[in-house]
This record gives sequence, structure tokens and C-alpha cells, in this order.
Amino acid sequence: MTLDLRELYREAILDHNRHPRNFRKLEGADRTAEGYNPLCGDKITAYLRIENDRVSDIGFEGSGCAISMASASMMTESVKGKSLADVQALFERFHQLVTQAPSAPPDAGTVGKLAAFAGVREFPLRVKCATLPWHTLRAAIENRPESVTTESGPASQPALPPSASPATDDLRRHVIEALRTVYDPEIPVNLYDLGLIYDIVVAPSGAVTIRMTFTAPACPIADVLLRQVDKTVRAVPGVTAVTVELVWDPPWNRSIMSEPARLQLGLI
Amino acid sequence: MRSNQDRTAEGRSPSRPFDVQKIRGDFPILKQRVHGKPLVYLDNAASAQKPQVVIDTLSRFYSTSYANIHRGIHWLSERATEAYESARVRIQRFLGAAEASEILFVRGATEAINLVAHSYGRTHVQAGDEILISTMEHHSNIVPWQILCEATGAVLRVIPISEEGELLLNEYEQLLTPKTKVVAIVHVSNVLGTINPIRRIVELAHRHHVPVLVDGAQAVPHLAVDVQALDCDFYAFSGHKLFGPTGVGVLYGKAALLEAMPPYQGGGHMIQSVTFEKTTYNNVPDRFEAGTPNIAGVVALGAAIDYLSDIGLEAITAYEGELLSYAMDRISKIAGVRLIGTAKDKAGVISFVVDGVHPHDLGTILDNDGIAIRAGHHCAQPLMSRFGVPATARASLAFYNTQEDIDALAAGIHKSIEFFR
Repeated sequence: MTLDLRELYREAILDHNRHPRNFRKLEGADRTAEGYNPLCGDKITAYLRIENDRVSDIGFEGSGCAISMASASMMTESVKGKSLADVQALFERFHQLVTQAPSAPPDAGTVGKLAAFAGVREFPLRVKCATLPWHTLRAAIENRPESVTTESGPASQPALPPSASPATDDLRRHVIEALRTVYDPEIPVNLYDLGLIYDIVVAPSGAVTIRMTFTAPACPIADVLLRQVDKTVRAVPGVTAVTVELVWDPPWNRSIMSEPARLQLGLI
Repeated sequence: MRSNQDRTAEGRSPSRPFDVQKIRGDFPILKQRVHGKPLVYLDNAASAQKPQVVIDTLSRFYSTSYANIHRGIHWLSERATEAYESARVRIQRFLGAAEASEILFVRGATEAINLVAHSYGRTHVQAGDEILISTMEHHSNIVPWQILCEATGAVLRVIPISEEGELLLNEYEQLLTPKTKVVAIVHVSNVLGTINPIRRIVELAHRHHVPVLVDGAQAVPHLAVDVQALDCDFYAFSGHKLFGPTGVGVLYGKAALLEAMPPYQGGGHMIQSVTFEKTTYNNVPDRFEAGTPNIAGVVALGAAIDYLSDIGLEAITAYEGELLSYAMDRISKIAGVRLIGTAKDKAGVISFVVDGVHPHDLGTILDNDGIAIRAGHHCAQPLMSRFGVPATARASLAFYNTQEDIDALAAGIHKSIEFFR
């Protein structure tokens, strides 16, 4: 299957690559940070001025591929004037937009023009290009001096689960316990034992990625349940970020349920 | 593509017409379609594809002849040992080495260079000494020497190159001093394709009694190499770039040097006798092959070398030379393309940058048309800064590539330029 290049390189991305906005060293910046992906060679410096917990001005310099340059350019436009809390929320929505599984319905409504990056998720190798400016921005806000990269860790290798360690194993157990408290209101068995959770990946950073499904694609309360899963896992101490990916392959069937669940439903 | 080495290749390359379509038939992966398009594989400098005979040799060896080597007195072990050691003899002939014991099996060119830097380096290099490398080295021929310098207090010196990507031999001569203890130099650059004049480099170093290690990872797939004619002291290459399996490589070393070198790793097979007080090391090459090696990989590398020798390295060099000229001509005529590496003596690597199109975006557009190239710094960051680019696009050839592959590449570059205009 030929992937549609126009999905990746949408007109807005091409335009921002040709004419990057706020491409300048910001005089009077009180925060700067550098992002560098050594394998690609993509490099960006973000300059910020923060007043009253608000990004009052922002600029960037650097060189890199069209995705990274356009992402930096559009990022500066979309965070200028916003409160730090709003920027953080936007960071998370953007991250979700470019990393969620291709089968999940795009949730682009809340990111404005940044929705142009929705196609990036079809090109896993390019996710790190789109997220580099955002991680650099966050480092600048948090005043972290070390250079940032998106070439290691889950952002650059979405297909590879991070290696397990005792710490991530523990956290994974707590995530499972939390998931056992989430119920579909029509079924008296929690989502985990129902077999709806296909995969839980815990990164050493505390970022949790959950792949899950529903009993039927037309599940009327899918949205509510997804949000509930997200909220519940986010509340587990030690979890720093949550990504919930909705998948339909393999389709759920009764044999996936745990034995106690089948007992409870009287199926055994 | 011409090689300026003196070499004797008689009896090694039966001359017969070069039939690229027949050769393509030997490589099953080339029949594959990528994103619905026929695969155009132009990333051979990263790793080469495998002919059916190499794949079959691996499978047959494991099915019929596999056991550990040099250990058992049983029939299978003897059979496996014979297959392993006969590969050593074939590689000896392939490189024109004087003795089979001068061929050491390692994991790849990287391990070969580390072995020399560690074993030879730590016994011959002291504080204030100098190691000479060039601007066009792969990281694998930079970092092991940096580690050695850190451990010993020696200093790394770098031979500069011209705008075309050729070694500045006058500067090299100036850098050779009584302080120089090792020269480590690439035979064919993985980014520029430059073929370095190894014979001349060795001659100059030997005037100062300095041994020369040659990184031949990108040379052996393209040119016939004769280590005695080159007179180099060490020669390293990787099996996977020579159409063999991954995880196996070769270090050639002159017998006199190897015999004086301490082991690189300790373990089984490299010893004659072990007590807790004193261990006596085995002879060369066994001393350098601690533990169970990549037996099947070595045997299959032998099969790859037989396959290449059957086609003939001279025929391969001639065919690739024509293809490279065609490619350089096609690509350089595209407006907005700048070629990086235009040495007169050059093997099948074309590195370039395109105005307004970042190498990674180019890589994505080409991939979508089934064309595999490499985009990035190619593990040669110092070389990238020499040419003032963060990354390049690189198309690298093998003897199974065709003019149609080059035409597809040129069309893809045009398409990318249109796309980002």
C-alpha cells in the first residue's frame, strides 16, 4: 500500500517549512533550550520570554527536515501568549495526536492548526522529528540545561517496548490494579479481566502506553471509558504520562476473558 | 572506477560476460515489492543483500554439519571444523594473504579495529605518541583510537582532505613523524566513495617503521584486494557488506605482528593450558578467537566469497564503474543537487544534498516509491562538518543494481524537488 505523502506533508507543513515563523534569536529571552537528534542531525534552539506564567514571546533557530522545522514554526505560533498550564496541556494533546495508533480515530479537534501533523502517526520513523521542538520547549520552560533528544525512548521507537526493569514491573502491577477498578457499566467485570487491555508498556520515565479494545466497534460509551482509563492510570503514583491507543485488531472475543471473569459471567 | 593499486589477480577471476539480470535472480529479496513498487535497493554501503547460495549454506550447514569446532573428537565436530577452517583458507586466497593463520575471525570490521587498537595499541603506544587517521574515517575507525589515546595519553592526529574528498598526501607526509605509532586509514570512504592510494600510504608509513591498519569494509565488495601487494599490516572488513551474514568479520594481520600481540579477550580455545597460577596462550590465530565463534556465519561468508570469485571481482569493478559514471552524470545534472565526494578514484557511493529538500524528507519520498537510500551522517560526523552539512543523502551501489535503479532514483529526486518547491 502506498502511504499518502500528502497526509504527512500537508500544505500547512510545506508552507511553514518554506517560511518558518518566529525564526529568530529572541532578544531578552529569559529561557533557552537546545534540542538535538544526533542520528538525524536535526537541531533546534528555543528562546522564550515568560511573564506572569505566560509565554509572552518565543523564537527558534535551527536546521532539520521539513517535519521538524514546520513543527517548531507552528509550535511557536500556537503557544505564544498562552499560560504555562495551557502549553503543557497542548504539549500532551499534540503528543497524543502524533503517537496514537493509526487505527485510532484522529482526535484533532482540540489542537487547532496543529492538526496538520495528524498524518505523522502513519510514519513512525518521523514522530521524533515532530516532537523534538515540543520537548525542547518543555526543557526551556523547566529550565533544564542539558540538550534534549527524541531519538531514545518511546517517542522515537513506538514499535519497541522499553525493556522491563524491577521499577517498571512494579509500576505496571499498580497500573493493572488501577485498571481493575474501571468497569463498563453494562458488564459486571472490570476492563482488565474482561480482556480489553491488550498491552501495557511502562517506560523507565514513567510514561505508560496502553493498547486496548472494546467488545464491539459500536460501543456507545467508548469515549467515556477511554477518558476514564486515561484518568485512572494517570492517578497512579509514579505515572508521568499516559497514552491510550484504541485498536480493533485482534478483535475481542469471549475466550480472551480471564477465567474468574468467565466464571462470574456464568460462561463456564 | 579504477583502482591504482598494483595487484596480481591471475587465476582468480574467470572472465565471462556480466549478466546483471541473471545475478539479480540470485538475490531473492530483490523480487520484493515495497509500498507496492518494485524494490530499488541503493543502501548497499549500510549492508548488502544475500544471494540464495549464502542463505542455503546457512540452512544446510545447520541441517547437516553443525557442531562445535576444535573440541569434539566426534565426526560432526570434525566436519564443522573442516568447514570453518576451509573458509579461512578461502578468505586467505581472497585477500592474497601469505598464510591462513593471518586471517582472524571477528564480529565485524568494528571488532577487528578494536582488537588492534587494544592488543597492538596498548603494547606499543605510550603517552605523547601519535595515532594518524583521516578526516573521512567512519566512527569505527575513530573511536577505538580515541579510547586508546585516553588510556595511554597518546594523541590523535587527522590527515585533511580536499574539497573533492581526496586525501592530502603532502599533509600526510608532514604528519608522519617519529612520534607516529600507528596509521589507521579507510580504503574506500563510506560517504565519499573515495578510493585511497593505500599502496602509497603504506610505503610512506613504512619509511618511518609505522604499521598501517586499513579499514576495508567498503572496499572488498567493489575491488579485488591483495594485502601483500598493498603491504598493509592489518586489514579489516565485515561479512555483511560482502553479501555474507551479519555478525562475522575478518581481521588480516601480518604473522610477525600477530605473533607478538597479547590476546584481546580471554576464554576457551585461546589457551594451551590453564592453571590458576599461569595460563599459556594458544598460537595465532586461535589466541584471538576466544569462545565459540560464529561458526555458521564464517562458513556462509566462505560461500559468499566463492560466489563473488565465481563472478570475478574484476568484472564487478568494471560493471560498477560504468554504473557509477552513469549515476554521477544523471544525478549531477539535476538542478539544485550538490554532490559530496567527487574524487577521481571512486567506488560506488553517491552522496549528495538537494537545495530546499532535507535528506530525511528525500528519504521518505523515495521510500514511498520503493527506493531505499540512506539519509543522515553515515557514522562520519567529522566528515559532515568538513563539508558543512548536517546530513547527506547517500545512494550506494552493488553489482546487482541497474541503470533502471538509477533512473528511478533520479525520478524520485525530481519528484521531491517538485514536492517541496
